[in-house]
Amino acid sequence: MPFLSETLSPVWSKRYRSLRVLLFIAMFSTVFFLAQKALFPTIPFTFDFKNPGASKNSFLDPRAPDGSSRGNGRLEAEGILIGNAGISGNFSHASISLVPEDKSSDPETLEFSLRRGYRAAWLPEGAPLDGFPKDTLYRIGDRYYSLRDDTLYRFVSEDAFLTRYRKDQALPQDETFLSRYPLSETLLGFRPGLLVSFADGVFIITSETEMRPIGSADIFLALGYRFEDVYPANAEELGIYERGRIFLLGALHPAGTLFQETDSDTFFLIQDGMRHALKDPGYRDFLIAQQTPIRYSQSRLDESVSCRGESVSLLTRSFGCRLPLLSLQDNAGNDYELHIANGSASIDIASLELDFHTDKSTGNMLFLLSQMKQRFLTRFGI
Amino acid sequence: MKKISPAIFKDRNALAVMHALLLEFLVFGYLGFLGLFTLETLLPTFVTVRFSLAGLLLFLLILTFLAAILAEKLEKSYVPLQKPWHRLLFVPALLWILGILALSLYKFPLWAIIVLVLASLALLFLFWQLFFARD
Repeated sequence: MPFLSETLSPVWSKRYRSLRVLLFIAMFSTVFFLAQKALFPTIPFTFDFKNPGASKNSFLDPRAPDGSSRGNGRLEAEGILIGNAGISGNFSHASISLVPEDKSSDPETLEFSLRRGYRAAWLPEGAPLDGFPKDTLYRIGDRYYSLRDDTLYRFVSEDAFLTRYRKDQALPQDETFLSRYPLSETLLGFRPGLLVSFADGVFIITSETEMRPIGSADIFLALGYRFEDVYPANAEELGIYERGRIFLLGALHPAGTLFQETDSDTFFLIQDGMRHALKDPGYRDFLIAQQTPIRYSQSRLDESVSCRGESVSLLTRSFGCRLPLLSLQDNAGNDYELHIANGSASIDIASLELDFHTDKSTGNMLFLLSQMKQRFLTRFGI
Repeated sequence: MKKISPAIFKDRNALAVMHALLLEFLVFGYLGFLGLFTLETLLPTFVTVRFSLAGLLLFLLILTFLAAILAEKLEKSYVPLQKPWHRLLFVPALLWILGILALSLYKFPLWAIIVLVLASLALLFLFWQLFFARD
């Protein structure tokens, strides 16, 4: 016996052999169980309504249909709670577990429904855009300016200007023009929504002052973007932006993102929290030249799966159900939106968990192994 | 089912069996940890999004501590690298360490690689002195 350095009595020697067998069975069972967990993962998204600001809350933006926050977990009678989770992959079903506060009454009825697509595609539709933004633009030498509220704002580079307007939209002026208006120190950059690269990172310009790095190449592709649309920027151009939080799955596509709804062949631009149809073909084609629109089908996005909440545990007070996801597998987008419709008794929710389960099948295992191989090759640039 | 009497912990046979089983489990446990650590280095976040490596290491360290207590009760002392085949472990261990360092550092600037490698070797040497050097 390699680990036994003294002689045992016959009784203990027999016991040692038996216990060794049990130890190996336990170890192999553990390895098998962990391998199953690794190859067929269950991905949880949770929200603790007692700590709504906690960073570990992976279930995003619990809110009412009007957009007001439901971070306190209060759900009035007939109220609706909406929230999001972003995840890529093929999942067989999702399970939901909602735990009321100790002092809260039990819900009379709970209806859960889940749909899959792009969060931005579910935004309300705003007024259509009939062309380029209405700005007064000037070109002095090789520099471009925008006149806003009687103040001149300079673009950080010609390329930044050309992401928003055509060259011929700027009226040429000479240097004396600069004395007519005060010149702001604030520089204008790229069109929000543009993808830029610098050093080893890819960023989204999310506003006039902020850019956010994208978490990984997988996340970039899962968001519907294409690497061909990334503009290589320089340090001066990006120096005017503050670096925001990492852009991960589940986050709302920022203003300036271009979508194409394939059922009606309508192009939408995200702005001010709304989708705006692009009516002017010139502006539409200008934007398409910079960014391939992210395509989706509205009818597919409106499909949902639902179930009625029931008590799910004998030990704890929790309510939930199981939602099959096979019918949503072919939907474009990796954002899931959960709707919880409450019955006639108001409740206070303590916590919510939405789990995505992978079916144990050879196909899923091979898919995961191919993903691992692809990640390995990408990591080392092969 | 027979009750386990506290006296069992004073029986040398029982302690020897517990010690041997614990050591065997620890060997596989640490090998498993090294395997998961290597996989995490090759595919960052693949392991840690599913399991806690820190939790596993803590669990193994606690069991190592228990094994040390049992060894003391059994009046065992360890003389590392006593057997000739122990020295053969050097080569794969060194290759593994160099491989992990290379995978972790290959995107760093050259001066940082030199500093980190020298610091790692110094730490390894100190650990070696602490645990294996003969007085």
